[in-house]
Amino acid sequence: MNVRTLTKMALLTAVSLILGWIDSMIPILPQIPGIKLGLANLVLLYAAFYMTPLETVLLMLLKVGLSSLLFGNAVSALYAIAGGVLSVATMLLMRRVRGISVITVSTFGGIAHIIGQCAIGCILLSPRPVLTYAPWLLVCGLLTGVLLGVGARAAFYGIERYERRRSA
Amino acid sequence: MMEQKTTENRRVKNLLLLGGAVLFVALSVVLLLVLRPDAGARDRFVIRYGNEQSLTVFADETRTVVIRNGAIAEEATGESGENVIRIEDGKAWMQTATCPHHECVRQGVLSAETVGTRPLGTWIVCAPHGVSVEYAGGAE
Repeated sequence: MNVRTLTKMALLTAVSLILGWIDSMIPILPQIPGIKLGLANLVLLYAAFYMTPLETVLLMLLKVGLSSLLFGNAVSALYAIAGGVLSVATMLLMRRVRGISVITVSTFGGIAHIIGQCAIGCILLSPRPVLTYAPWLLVCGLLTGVLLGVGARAAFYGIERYERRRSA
Repeated sequence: MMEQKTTENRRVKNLLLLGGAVLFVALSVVLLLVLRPDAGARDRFVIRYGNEQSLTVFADETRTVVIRNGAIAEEATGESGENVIRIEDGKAWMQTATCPHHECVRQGVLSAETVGTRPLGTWIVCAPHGVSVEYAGGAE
């Protein structure tokens, strides 16, 4: 890994931590626990499109590890890693489809994230309370995935335009 | 012309994939709601106390359980070694306790909706008095 990639990784990790912190302060549906916008996933979405799969996985592990260390506990780390692994794996697989849009990748990533978290919830708690929540969580995963995808598309457009102007 | 067709193909592909995602979520939601595990079974709380004794209370009951020094008591008196557990509207909580720090009282409400977010998950535990309440779902 060269210095440029290392610096980029460090910056993206910092951005994901800040976005995660902002995310924790935005109440979506307080009566349904566990629902968040998932702003920090914007960074992983960026990595899935502009970085190598290995760098994307490394970034996800850094994000999960550091945010759990700073804001969470061991249990929240397990939920985050299950959601993160499944979400990143899905996004990297979807990314291989030619001509796929960032909104589609983000939507599948959001749904996969919820499935991963529900799976770990079924193991740690019991399936019943988790499956009671699962329908709500899945719908929210879909909606936040689409929303983040729209945001990411605008951000990627800006980044690409900046890169083009810089290289011109 | 060729480029326009490629763009159109990409749009159709993405729309189909997004439609697939929506369909997947919709089917999952319907399946989870219809085939909910233990659907129809009554939720239970298991209260454990004393020397491996336990009492099961259905979540749809409205009841106050008083445990004093490892045994079920008739009513709360506020004596030492006492825990008062309230079950109402599918929720259970430690109403009062005479333990040193009242941590069990601060552990909050236990119900199907809260088990996923509580630090102790399906449990309310009063360690000094050896009393616990477990949300046991509807399974036998």
